[in-house]
Amino acid sequence: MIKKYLIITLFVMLTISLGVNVGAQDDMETYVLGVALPFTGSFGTFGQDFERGIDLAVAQMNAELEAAGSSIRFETASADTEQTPEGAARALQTIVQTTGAQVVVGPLTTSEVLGAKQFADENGVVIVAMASSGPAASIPGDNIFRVIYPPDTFSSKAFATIALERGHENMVVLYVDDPFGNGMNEQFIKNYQASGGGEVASFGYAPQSTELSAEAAAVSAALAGFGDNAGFFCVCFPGAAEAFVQVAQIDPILTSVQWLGNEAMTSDEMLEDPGHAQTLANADFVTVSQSADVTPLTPIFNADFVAMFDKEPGIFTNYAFDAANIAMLTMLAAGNDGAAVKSMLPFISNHYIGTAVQAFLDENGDQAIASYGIRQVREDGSGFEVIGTYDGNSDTITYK
Amino acid sequence: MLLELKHLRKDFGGLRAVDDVSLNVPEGAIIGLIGPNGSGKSTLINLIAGTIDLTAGQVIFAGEDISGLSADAVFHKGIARGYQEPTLYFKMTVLDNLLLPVKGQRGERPWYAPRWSTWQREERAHALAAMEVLRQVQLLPYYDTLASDLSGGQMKLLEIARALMGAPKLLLLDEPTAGVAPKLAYDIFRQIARLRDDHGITLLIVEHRLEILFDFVDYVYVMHLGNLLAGGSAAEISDHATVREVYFGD
Amino acid sequence: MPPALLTTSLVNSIQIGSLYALMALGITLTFSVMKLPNFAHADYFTAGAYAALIVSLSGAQNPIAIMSAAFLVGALTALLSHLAVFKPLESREVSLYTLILASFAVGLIIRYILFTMADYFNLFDLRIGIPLQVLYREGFLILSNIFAWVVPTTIALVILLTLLLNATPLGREMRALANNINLARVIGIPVERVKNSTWLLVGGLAGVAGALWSLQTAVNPLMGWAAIISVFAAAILGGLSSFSGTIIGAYVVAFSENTVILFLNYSFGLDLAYKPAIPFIIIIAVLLIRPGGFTQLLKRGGKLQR
Repeated sequence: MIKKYLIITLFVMLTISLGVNVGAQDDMETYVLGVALPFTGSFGTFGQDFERGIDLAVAQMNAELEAAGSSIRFETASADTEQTPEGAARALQTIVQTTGAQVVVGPLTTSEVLGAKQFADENGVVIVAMASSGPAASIPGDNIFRVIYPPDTFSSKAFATIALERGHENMVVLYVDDPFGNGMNEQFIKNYQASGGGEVASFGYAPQSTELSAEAAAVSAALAGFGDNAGFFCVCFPGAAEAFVQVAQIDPILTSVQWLGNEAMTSDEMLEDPGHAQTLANADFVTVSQSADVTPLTPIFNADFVAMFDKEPGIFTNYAFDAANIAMLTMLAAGNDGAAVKSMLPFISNHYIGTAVQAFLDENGDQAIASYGIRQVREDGSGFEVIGTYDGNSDTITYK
Repeated sequence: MLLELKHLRKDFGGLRAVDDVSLNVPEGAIIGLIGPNGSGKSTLINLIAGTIDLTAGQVIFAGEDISGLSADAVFHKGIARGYQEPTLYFKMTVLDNLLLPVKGQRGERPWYAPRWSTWQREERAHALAAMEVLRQVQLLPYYDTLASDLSGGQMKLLEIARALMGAPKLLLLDEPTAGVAPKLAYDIFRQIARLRDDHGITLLIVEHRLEILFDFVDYVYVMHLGNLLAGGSAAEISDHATVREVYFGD
Repeated sequence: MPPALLTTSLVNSIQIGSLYALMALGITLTFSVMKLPNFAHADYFTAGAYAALIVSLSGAQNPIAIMSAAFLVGALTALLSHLAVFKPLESREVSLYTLILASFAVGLIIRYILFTMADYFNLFDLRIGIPLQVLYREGFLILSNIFAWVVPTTIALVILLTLLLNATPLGREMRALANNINLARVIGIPVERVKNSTWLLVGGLAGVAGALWSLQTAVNPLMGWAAIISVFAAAILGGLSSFSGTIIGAYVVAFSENTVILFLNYSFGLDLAYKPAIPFIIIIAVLLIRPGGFTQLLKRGGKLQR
């Protein structure tokens, strides 16, 4: 009983002190920017780095607002999506119910975005995702905007074209069995076969898997069945990607074919392992991911990030920075109101040039500018180099 | 006095199972504890052995107050016990059952256990001692048998043998002949008497077979409804009017 | 099923089954001696894997050193969780459900300590620095150096554990605790010390399993948790009481996850993504059809007998 009263008292005191706080800053207005990202799980390092990118954007925006004499300030409220759809829904609900946030930046993967979608649509909360690319979330009129990274309908086309250029008559695909992997697999098969490719054998693995020897055996057997001129395409998450390469590196079939794969295969951890790096190098591994094109803002972002956090920003961290800026600019223009933000966000996006590319949204609220880099692992496995670009809008590959 | 009970009381909820019992067990004696079913004898044994907690009173053993000690602590003070139902490690061999209570074995320490040489000699000595005890209770041929394969009487003997392995000063026995054929029951009591004669162990025995018990005991206490009704030699108790009334229904 | 696929999947089954066996034996031991289905077991395994990783990253690539460190860290983590949580709870005589919940909580705490550490030192999805090599190759049969570490280590540890349990005073006392802990107290067995020793042993085995597992896959704070359901399935198949049953159970689970699913995929097109469902199916099937697991089949009946 005493405990209960203690908690109530604390709560009351907290409320009063918060009230006093707001009262002291009289006519200041605070907009809450929600941040829902996976801070745990195999994407945990991405989530934590993305949050730093968002914090940088908010700090810069607040400094500018103060200098301009504005009465508006932004603050963030973040929650862990645990890299699951349910976790993303919970994270969104927590943020919205505890802070009244109208706009949330994140989550990361397509399955998390889809998990958070229902709550967002029903409660008029706008989601601004920075890296989700699964076609499953390309839905017109909903509250989800994917402002930087284009949907995989484009990159799957690039992968299919490269596979055909390499002379692969048949393909074997290993994909993570979630909306991202399923979408990539389906789109790849469609594009590959539409352009004259042969049979495709696909194997899905469960998203939380950390041990993929059975999957590797299946892929190897399918490649052997296709005979010469078959290629392999891996759509994996980090962690699983390393586990797969770990068992694949002694497989005689897998080490004798060429590989394609998504950007999770290009992590630093992968190349730190000499065996893994060598396996990828032998497989002439090629990945297609959004172009690391440079805008005038890119070096400034990098320098500011290092100044603030004393470390280099990780891959795609600038997308989180851009997404947060688009969200804040829209809130400044439309006010702290979900419906108004939803209506205005495409307009603001289409006039925003960030750290990588311009954000220009299609009718689904997804990035419509598809500019990719094609990267191949160096022969000695020491890193990746850009060997060409792919323009999704005109469907053309240009090699350097 | 080896064991002194002072005003022991045990309540189970509203039921007073043992009510203000005080009795003395002199060293080297064989003491009988009799009474009708439900008179509180087994509860009293459990109180002394520390398997259940006292409500009130004191247990003094060898001049030391051991009231409230846990069962293993009481065992290490030198009080061993046997059960009404044979309580053994039935899935283990007779020899294993005897080696378990040996105090301070080196091989039970995790860093010694994998190093055979550090405890093998000691283990052999314990095994020889156990074999000697088995010989005394005439179970030697069964040393490698699973305890579950013994007969009821042999199980009782094994319990007694196990108690001996702990070198106890006092042995509490709860109906050592329950469910045992009459001839074997007499054998069991002969073994019990030898525990006193050869090993100097004091015994407190709960028993229903008075005709056998009375041949061996030095003194008998009678319990009835949680109270101590009487005490005396076997002959006195046999003739005690009240005892005959509650016990034999005369 | 093509012979290459069958051969590879059988090798995988044996390799992964051995790792499951090492973990599942610990679960069986904890359940028998401590009467606790310990879900924190997964995280002793992860702690061991991280110990192995750190030793390896610090430059020592000697497998014996790596496994000893993993044993030590796993053992101490297990003992600490007993002394800090399970023992105080047992002395309050809480119900089994409370203990199970507590084991989940202990697991969470260890897991998030490891998360914090992994985040701080950036230790996500790394591997032990022992490169994978092909040791033996004959037709479709390919045996790696990892296979050569995992399988003999498991066999050696199982033999040692069996000897310890059946031929030493400590093992005798552990069996006694498993059978009747109250009697153990009454006949003066040092119950607490035997329990502590059991925890050290259980945690150490899990730690070694973690070290061996991290040869096979990447180390991250969730790796133990990802494997625990398969491991529990193995232990439940073994009836949670016999060593031989548990070992058979471990290989059956690994065989189902590596060979049976590939057969079903090859012949009937079953999606490989159903792999994580296999241990659940096994657990439910065992509990419904034969709650005693293989122990019942083996007709040993007794607890922790040979």
